[in-house]
Order: sequence, then structure tokens, then C-alpha cells
Amino acid sequence: MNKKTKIILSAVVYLFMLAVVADNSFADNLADKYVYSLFNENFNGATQEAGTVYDNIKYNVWNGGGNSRPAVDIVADSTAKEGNKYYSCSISSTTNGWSGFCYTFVTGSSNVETRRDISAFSTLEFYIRPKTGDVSNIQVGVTDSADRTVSLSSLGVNNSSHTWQKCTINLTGLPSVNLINIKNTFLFITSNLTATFDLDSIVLKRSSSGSFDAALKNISDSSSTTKITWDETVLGSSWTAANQYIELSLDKFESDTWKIKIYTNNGSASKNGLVAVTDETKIIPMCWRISKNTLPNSDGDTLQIAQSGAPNYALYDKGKSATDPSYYPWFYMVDFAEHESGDYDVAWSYKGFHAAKDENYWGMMDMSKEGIYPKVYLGADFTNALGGLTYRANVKLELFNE
Amino acid sequence: MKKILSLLLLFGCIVLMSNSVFAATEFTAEVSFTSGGEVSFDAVLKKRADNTSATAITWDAGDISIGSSSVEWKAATVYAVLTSTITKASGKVYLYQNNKSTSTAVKYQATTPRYETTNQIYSGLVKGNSGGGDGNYAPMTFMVSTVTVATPDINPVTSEYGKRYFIDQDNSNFVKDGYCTVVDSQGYINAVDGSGNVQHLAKQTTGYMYFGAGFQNIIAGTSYGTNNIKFEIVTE
Amino acid sequence: MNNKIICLLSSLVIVIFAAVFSYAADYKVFSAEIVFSSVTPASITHSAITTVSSINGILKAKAYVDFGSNNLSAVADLRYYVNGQSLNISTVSKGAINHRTEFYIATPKLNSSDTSVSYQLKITLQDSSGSTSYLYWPSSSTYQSVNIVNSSSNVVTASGGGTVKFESGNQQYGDTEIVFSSGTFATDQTITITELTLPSMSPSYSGGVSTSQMVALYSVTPLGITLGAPARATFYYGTETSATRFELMRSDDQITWEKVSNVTTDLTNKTVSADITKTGYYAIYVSGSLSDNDYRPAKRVVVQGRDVFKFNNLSDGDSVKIYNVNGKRIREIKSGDAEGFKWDGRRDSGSYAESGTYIYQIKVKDKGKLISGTIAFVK
Repeated sequence: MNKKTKIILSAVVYLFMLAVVADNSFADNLADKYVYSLFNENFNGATQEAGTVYDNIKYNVWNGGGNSRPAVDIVADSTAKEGNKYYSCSISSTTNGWSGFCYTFVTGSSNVETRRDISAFSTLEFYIRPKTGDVSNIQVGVTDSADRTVSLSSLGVNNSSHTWQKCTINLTGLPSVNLINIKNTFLFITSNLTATFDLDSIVLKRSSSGSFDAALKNISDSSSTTKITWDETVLGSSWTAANQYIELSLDKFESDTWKIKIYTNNGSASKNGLVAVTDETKIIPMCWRISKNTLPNSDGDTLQIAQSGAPNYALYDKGKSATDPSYYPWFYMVDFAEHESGDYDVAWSYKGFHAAKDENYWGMMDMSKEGIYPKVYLGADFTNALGGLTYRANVKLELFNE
Repeated sequence: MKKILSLLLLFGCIVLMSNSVFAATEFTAEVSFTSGGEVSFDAVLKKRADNTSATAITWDAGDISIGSSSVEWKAATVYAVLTSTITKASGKVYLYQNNKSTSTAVKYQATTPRYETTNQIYSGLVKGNSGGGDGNYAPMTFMVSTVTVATPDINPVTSEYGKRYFIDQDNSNFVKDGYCTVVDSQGYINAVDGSGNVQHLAKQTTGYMYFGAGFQNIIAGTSYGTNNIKFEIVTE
Repeated sequence: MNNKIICLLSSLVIVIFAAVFSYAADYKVFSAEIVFSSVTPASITHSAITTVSSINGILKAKAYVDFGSNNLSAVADLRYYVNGQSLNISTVSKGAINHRTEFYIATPKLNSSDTSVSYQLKITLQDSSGSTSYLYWPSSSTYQSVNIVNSSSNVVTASGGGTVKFESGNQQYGDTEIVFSSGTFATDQTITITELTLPSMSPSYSGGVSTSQMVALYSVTPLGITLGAPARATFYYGTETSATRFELMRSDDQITWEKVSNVTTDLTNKTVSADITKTGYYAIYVSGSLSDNDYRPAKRVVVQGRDVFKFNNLSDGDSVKIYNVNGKRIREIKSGDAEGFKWDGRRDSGSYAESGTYIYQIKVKDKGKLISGTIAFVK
């Protein structure tokens, strides 16, 4: 379709839009997201496959002036900046015409183009890996009634460095932009250029300070509950998981140096477990683990806890084999009175989940914030528990920033 | 979709040097063992020489000097194998005597036994037949171990640690908790210090108890004994 | 569920019981007794010495005296003569001894040319009134005659096995003996244990270990026999050394030696014991004089699957730890076999370590120090 027809159609769509109630799915998802993913495997958001529509955002490629369209393929390999996939792009526009691609807001069952308000977001971020040609003059930005873009070189991209480089576009800094009335939320456009490059992790981000939530749920049916419990029948048993899990969420938290720590809060370093209410010398040791999803899961992660012998006495997932790197996910609980500046009692941080696969493992590198709801499971060793006693612990989770 | 908790901003905060806490939340974990747990205990006598079973605690008379005025502490030729499982907080086992019982089934001799009455000590081995003045009793001691001991040291004088005197329920210093306690939910008890603090041995099912007695001014042709060495098993 | 109800009911019953009486309890009752019989006399107890080693040359008797039902004091003497010269009696006095208390009393070292010694124990008893009486072993008019020899033989039957024992004549410590089980020999066999004088220069032995100090040497003859079943051998190493770690070596010719494994040392009885499978010469060495290099692996580079690192001369209680160059411990080895503690390049987890340089740290429990070095593992 030529450009003139396209513009007319767009006008018709806009008029049509005024007459109907806007489809608000994107707006709903927008409401409590710190990060909105346009192309990122770890955050909730829009399309990840070229040509599809997801969450009312459509991926488009186009060309003009006799140039060919950019070829954009999704490649899956270990060189992706984030997750497993990235866009591999090839641009060949030899005349002064243009070619490019974008994410466009659409609505209704016919996916008609529409406008949205993205003013809640402060930045548009992505990673680019230049390969051949010179990408410096490629324009990137958003479209309201017109394209509002800046060049890649102005974002600091070094064309001769063929490694992943992060670009951050300050949305309010785009010239004459109206963030309330956005059509294309990500626009990539070139003219008279032959080049190849890769793109990954395209996201919109907010700038307000964050909040942290932890919800206690029953393992049996994920219903909400108020206390972490074990059944009386665990008396004399070795390490046993509690009947509940804690679901964490972290929203709108901007810093890149945050941590969530977990400890008991019983008042002294030696009380790092369940303490008998009538005899504080009787203490049942506790442990925890954090998981991306509920357990047991289809990866073979279970809630069976075992303890190896001397000298390490490490806690491990009894349902996994000792050669599996995810064999040691459980950590012993420390008390708040003892917690130290190290990472032993950190459950989740900017590095990812503390998965205890080995001494230095953190699951899900780099992108470990909003849109993810990890679950914390708890266990305790009742081998030396005594009948006639009630044992109690305060379990504390804290979000803080280094 | 989620309730948002109120934020706690702690600047210059207690936690760590450059860290500031932005939010915190606390849950209670609790488990109540109202009916579970058991208290079981058994004591079986065996001969130290060959570990065959024995029916009473006894000593080797030939090992003891007749007429010696100094106290000779001798280990009994019999020891006790204790087997216990206590998984209830209130469970415990006491050890004491009842030498002053008037019941003929309990007291050592049908005739009136002779006790050391000056210091109100009724425990140990009481002298059965008449004759002799001092030395109307031989004090008894016991020690608890988690392993068998080839030559047990039951002499309370060599070191105060690990050995305890037998106490009679009519002794003026009779107290059960602490001093008379052999095993409780934390395991077998090694010793009790001067402040009444108990020293537990490593917790295990089996313990071993060795007995001793202090003999002094023994006259040939006499006998000493007690019929009421009592383990009391308490469940609540 | 039923068990729970029964438990609950039982608890209720006990609770009610407790309310009426003091509290819920169960009892186990025992009695104790000792009876002192009227009068028993004093007696002496001693096991006769049958041989005295011509190499050690000391007769040391162990005995105790039971005072019976008497209040006594006592002193002990050892009376002896050598080579049949019954008119030339020497006396060694122990001095005061106590009721039922083991004591030792010994001759001085006899001449190497002496062939026999005869002895008697005499105990002088005194009661509280001062009257004196005596106890003798074997009797007031006899002496026990003992040959001074350096060997002892016995027949080991095919069907029943047997024991060959050589008493050194020192009853304070253990004796050399070999216990054979039935089926060790096809036909009845006379086995002789001979104690030999030490060679003037201890030979080195194969196994890559340097010379060390030999403290005892025996032959088990006839030479050259391989036993049908292992025999338990105990060798007495004498009183000349205060070392605490020993090795037992075996040879057919006193020239080439091989180490006997799984040796148990009894410092109280001054013996070393092991299962043996051959006759031959048996020598006891003090292993405290091993140098650090005697423990290090001879091969410093090992290729995965082709060879292993061997840490020599280690036994129970020793350990070898392997660290990577970052100081992270990847393997701990606490046991081995006759060739020593071995490292095949695997981590504690079972997977092979990467190619590279590793640091080993050997802890020999009696040495009180660590022996370290570097080795290279190639995948």
C-alpha cells in the first residue's frame, strides 16, 4: 500500500477511534508496571514475534521510496543480551527513501491503529550490537503525530564496537513529543543506509520509587493466609517444608543495587529458627529457598529437603540428583540480630534470585525486577522437637538499597 | 492487583553502613506439638566382666580391705544399660532411694536397719546386721556415660565432675530436679554443678550407668545393702 | 487416626490419675548388696614365665597379693639364680605392695651367655599387731626354672590351626605370637618364631621410602611359605624406643622388604599387629624418622585415566586435601590402600577437576605439621 493510502486509512482509523470506547488492555497492564517489555523475555508486556499483536501492540516493518524493507529475524542463541533471543536486523536502503520498523498501538479485533498515553514512563531503553555498516545515523524514538527521534550516535553508540551497548532515551527529552498521544511506542528508521545490527531487551521504564510486597499463601491451593505452619505430625521428622510460601513482588523500584533479605527476627543470633515459647533454649533450625515458580515444578525441583553429612552439612533438594547444578537451593536461616553485610541471607536482588546452585550462583542475571513474582519456601528440622511445646518464629523480609 | 504495603524509610539506619531499608514485612511461623512425643525408659543390669545379665548391683568383697579406717571407693561389678527415648519436653527420669521405707518388701533387712542419723543421711548401702559402731552405711555414687567404660572412676573425691551421690528421699537435701535427674528431653546428664546447672551428654538412646560405694571400717562377717534404688520415669 | 484417639484417651487417664496422686510416673527398682564373709586368708596370684628372650635378657614378673579379710601390710621380693647355680641366689626387693594391686618385679639384665634363670616370689605380711607371715610362689622350697632362648616353636595342625608364641619374659608388655586358623596349612606344620639381633645397619626397603630405624627383627620359619589363610601376627618391639609410630616390613631375604598394611600399634603392650600371609623375616621400624618427601607423590603430573597421584606412608587419621590455585578446597582424601592415599583428579562431588595446577596439603597426624606442594592434573 502506498504512503498516501496509508495516511488516509490512518485518518479514518483515528475518526473511528473517537467514536468508540477505547480498548484499555495496554492501559491496564501499564498501571502497575515499573518496566513494560516490548521485546524482553523476562518481563510482561507486548509482542515478541515479528508480525504478531500482543497486548494491543503490533510489530510493523515498512519501507518507502523504492527501498526494500528491513529484514528482521528473531535469532535464538547464547549471545543474546537478555534471555535467549534477540532481533537480527539487516537494512538496505540505497536511495533517499526510508525503511524501518516499529511497535504500534492497535485496538479492536481488526487491530486498527490507535493512540496511547505513555507519559507514566520516563525512559525507552534497548541494547544494540552493531555488526556491519555504520549505524550512527539511524534514528530511534516514538511517533505521536510525527516521528520524534534522535540518532543512535547521540545516544552514545560506538559503531566500531561490535558488542552489546545500552541505549537510554529520555522520553520527555524527545523534541516536541506529546507522550499522551503516542502511536508508535518504539520506532527505528533509516535512510540511504546499508547496515546490519542486533537489538535486544527493548523496554519502557518508569522513574518513581519502588514498593515491595510479600504475600503469604497456602501451598495447597494458593489461597491467602496469615501464618506459616507445619502439621503436628512433623514431630521427630527431619527437614520438612512448611505448608505455605511467600510470594514476593517488587514494583517501580529504580535503583540497580537493591536487595531483599530474609531472616528470623527473634532477637538473637542463636534464635535463628523456631523457638519454644515456654523454653527459649529449645530451638528448631529453619531454612529457606527461593524459586521462580511454585514448587514442585516440571523441572524436577521439589520441596523435599535433605542434609548432607560432615563437614558441610549442606541442605539439598532430595528430588534432584547430586550432579544437577540446582541440587543445593536451600539456605539456613539466620536471625536478624546476626545478619551481615554479605549475601548469605539475600533472597532476591538486582543480580537475580539467590538460587544457591553453587557458592556464587544467582539465577536470572540482570533483569530481575518487576513482573516477576518469586516464591520463598521455608523448611525446618524437627528431629529434636519435643512434644508438649509450641514453637514460634518471626520471619522478616526487608527490601533495602546498597 | 496486589495490596501495596506502606513504605518504611529508614535513613541513617540501623541495619548496615550505607544501606537504607525501603520496606519490611514480617510473618509469624508457628507449630504446636500438643499431643505428640513419647517418654520411654528401661534399665538393665549387666556384669562388667563379661556383659552377661545381672540381678542386683554388687561389689567384689575380696577387693575391699577389712578393717581399714580410710574410705576405699570401689566400683560395683555390675553396671546398668539405660535405654531412653524422650521426645516430650516434660519427660525425665529421676534416680533416688527409699531406705527408710517401713514396708518389709522395700527395706533391706527385716530388723531395723542402721542409718547414719547424725547427719540425716539415709542413702547408700545400709548395714544389715548388728555389730560395729561407725560405718553404719556405705555412701553410693553413680556416673552416667554415653559409652561403656572399662575402669569407671566413681570416686567422688578424685574429681567432682561426672559423679553424683545417691540421695534418699528422706535425706534433708533431697531434691529431684537437677541433682537426681538421670536423663531428660535433652539427653543423659553428666553432672550437676554447684549452682544446680546440669551438664548434658550428647543426646542418644543408650546410656551407661556405673555405681560405686565408699567402704570404711569393714568387719568380716557383715553385709551391706539396699532394696530400693529407684528410677522414676516422669511423663508430665 | 485411631492411634491418635487412643493416645488422647491414655493421656486423659493419666491426667486424672495425676490429679489424685502426685503426678504421672512409672518406676524401675533395683537392689544392691555386698556380703563380707567371716575370715579369708591372704594369697598370691602370678602366672609362670615360660621363656626369657636371650636378646632382651630381663625377667619381669607380674603378680598381686590378696590380703583376704585381714588388715595387713606387705612387701615383695624376687629371688633368683642363673644357669642352675642354686646356691648363688640374688634378691631384688619391690618394697611395699597393696591389697589386690598388681605389681612388677624384675631381674637386672642377664648376661647374654646365660641360658637359664630360676625364680621365686616371696611376700612378707605383717598384721596390725606386728606378727609376720609369708607367702611364696611357686612355694617356699621351690623355684620356677625358665630357659633363656631366642625362639619358640609349635605345631600348627591343618584341621585346627594353632598358636605359636614367644614370651619375652617381660610380663608387663605383650608377647610375640602368631595365631593360625584352621585350613592355613595343608598338612601339620611346625612354625618357629625366632627373635634375631638387629643388623648393624638397617637396610632400605622398596616402596620408595628411605631408611629408618629398625627396633625389632623376627623370623617366622620355614621361610617361603604362603599361608592358605591370613594369620594374625603380633610382634613385641621391646623397651628401647619411645617412638609411637611404627611400620612392619616383611622380607624373604633381609634384602628386599615390602611394607605390611593395616598394622595396629598397641603402645601399652608395645606390640604391632597385622594379618600376615607369608612366612619370612619381619622387622619393626620406627616411622617417626620419615622425612617430608617420603609422603609426597613421586609423580607430579598425572593424566586423567592413565595414572593417579599417590601419597605414601599415610594411615588412618591422616588426610590429604587438594586445593585449586584460588585456594578453594576441591577434594579431601582420608583413606587409601597399600599403595597409599590416591588422588585421581576428581573433586569431592565426583566430577573431574579442570586441567591445571593444584596444591596438596598432607596432614600426618603424629607430625603436627602440614606438608604442602604442587601437582599438575591434565584432563
